[in-house]
Amino acid sequence: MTSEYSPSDRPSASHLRLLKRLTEAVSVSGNEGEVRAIVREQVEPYADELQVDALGNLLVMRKGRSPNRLRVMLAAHMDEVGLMITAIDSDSTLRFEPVGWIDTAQLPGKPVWIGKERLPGVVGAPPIHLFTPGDLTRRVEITEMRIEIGAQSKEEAQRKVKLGEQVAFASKFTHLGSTIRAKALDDRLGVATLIEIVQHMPPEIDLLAAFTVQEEVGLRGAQVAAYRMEPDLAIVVDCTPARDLPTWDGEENMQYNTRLGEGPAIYVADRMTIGDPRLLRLLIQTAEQEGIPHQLRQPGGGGTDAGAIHLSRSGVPSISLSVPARYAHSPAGFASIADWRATVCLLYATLRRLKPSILKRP
Amino acid sequence: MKSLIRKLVEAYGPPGREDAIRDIVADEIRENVQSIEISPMGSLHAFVNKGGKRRVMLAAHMDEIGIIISHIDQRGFARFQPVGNVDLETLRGQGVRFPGDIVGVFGVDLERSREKPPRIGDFFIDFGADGKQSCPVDIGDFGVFDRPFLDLGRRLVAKSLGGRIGVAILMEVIRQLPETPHELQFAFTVQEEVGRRGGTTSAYMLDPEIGIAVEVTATGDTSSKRKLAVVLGKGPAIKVWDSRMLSDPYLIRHMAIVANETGIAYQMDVLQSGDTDIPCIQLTRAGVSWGCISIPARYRHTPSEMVDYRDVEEAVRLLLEIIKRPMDFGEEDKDQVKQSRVS
Repeated sequence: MTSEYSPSDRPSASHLRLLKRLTEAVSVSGNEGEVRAIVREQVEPYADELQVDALGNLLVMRKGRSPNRLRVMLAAHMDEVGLMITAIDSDSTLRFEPVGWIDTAQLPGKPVWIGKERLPGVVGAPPIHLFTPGDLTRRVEITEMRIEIGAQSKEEAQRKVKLGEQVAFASKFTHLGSTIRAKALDDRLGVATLIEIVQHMPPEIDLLAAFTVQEEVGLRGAQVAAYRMEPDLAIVVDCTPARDLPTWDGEENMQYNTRLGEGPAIYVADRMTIGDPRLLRLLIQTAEQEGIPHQLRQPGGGGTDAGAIHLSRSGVPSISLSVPARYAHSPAGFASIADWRATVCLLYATLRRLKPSILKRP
Repeated sequence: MKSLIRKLVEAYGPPGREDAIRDIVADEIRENVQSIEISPMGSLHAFVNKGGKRRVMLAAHMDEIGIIISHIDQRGFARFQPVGNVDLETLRGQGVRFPGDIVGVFGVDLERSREKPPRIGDFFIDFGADGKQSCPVDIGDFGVFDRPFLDLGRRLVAKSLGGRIGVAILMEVIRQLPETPHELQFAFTVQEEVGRRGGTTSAYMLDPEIGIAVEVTATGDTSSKRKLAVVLGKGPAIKVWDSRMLSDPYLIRHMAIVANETGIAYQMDVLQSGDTDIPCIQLTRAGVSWGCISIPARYRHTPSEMVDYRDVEEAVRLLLEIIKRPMDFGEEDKDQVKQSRVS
């Protein structure tokens, strides 16, 4: 029955409900429990084996039915960037440090959720009414910023917040016609993709799905997940920035990374990985033959879980595939629903074509 | 050996696209080795005397620095990103080659670079195309320096010598292979220039006890200010340390003793630089006794790397002498350590 499945290029209501749950869940690196619980609920009925490893990765194994199956690792990371409370000041405000890569200039004025209880707070900022001329051009350092939670005293703040608690952007999922707006699209879009693949798995492979932790702080979960899984090859599904808006001076935009609406971004090379050329060819061929929109991500910087996976043990042929999103690592990312659906379609069609001969060298 | 070096350095092999080099190596060495395997990453492993006394890995990397196309602009110029440690200063006026005999030249947007040194975004590749449609390359294509091999007699000049001279040396060792008590694991590795990715995965796969890399090292003989003792023409250099690694002192001493006994001139290589964030083969699995024979080279990571041919020949001779002999170095000291632990 599963072999009859073919993913739809249009989103269903249940797709959007799942994306809403996943993006509104809070899972800053190191504390991925909320997303893990959703993933577990979604995939457990389908898994032949399921385990949570020492770091918190959720690892799912599902056996295929065809003879001579490759062991294919798919990875998507459950964590998101955020902040961590590092001190409570005598005036009851909270100091913090970034967890993962955040443009701190984006922080002032943003509402946040603190800790498991989602205590509401705001990153304080001076009102523009009271700006001195110098304030407009000066970059505010993170050490000058504070989170306010409306506590009247240091003691009250200490009762409500503990040092080391994590902070997430307080953003609700919004469906805006052909796009969605949410925090943590990086990489809940990948997580949603993998959930769907586990549920409707192609019979041609043995599926090793890794929902990883701590990607945003250095691909840590993926490293140990790959060591345990020992796959024949790996495909990482992530979310990559689209910087495709016009330039301020009207010059040609030559560093857009990806463009919204042009389909999943296939990686030739980023800073940490050179995509396996055989898998690169297969992804492009599959997209062309199936008529699935796709684009090549501009080679250059960045990195995905593939950076750790491809160096595991004797090496793992690996490639990454990303859904493009504008305003990554901010409270409000923008992604095209069609790009996400095309990502699921391309991944599924590619998995169906994976045979051991793909790894033969001439 | 010079014709082999020419063939290797003129071939195309940026990181992740080493197929042409691997084919050259496999064709040349196949007859002289017991078996050949290709790692999942694409490194070529050749085995001699499997099951021998010590598992000795001898490694050189096949790849070279290059560029990768990131955008074709409206005028038909190709924009690019570096692959490996590319010095932008070396690009102006330089040719760049792609598979299928496609060649272009690097240009710089002069308007932008008049004030400050040009940045990567100011550079482009001009293929003589009329516009975007006639540009012969596409996003994701890898290019390498277009530079023929120069034989200056004692000195050799080429692109890609940084890895390929090691490849040539190991191939020559295989051609002249002596009787050896050891299992020799020749590893021609991939993706060194982007962070030693093929070397570490090969080391895991081969699980050697002892390893020797053959690479190039910087010299101090072109500047009175650079305090580097290594010079061209005074023999291969035994690496003591760089920023990544302290070589196994027992292996250093062993290589020096062999050189002294056989009258091979050598230098000591103390390189106070190098990337520190890239993995080190020494730390593979439970650890490997690791060392390096460095070929002194000027103008590294440029299209005109220069080595001295005598250093190359002597490195071959030194390696042949090393693999002939037992490698029980350090055993006495290690026994002492064991005993002291017991008592």
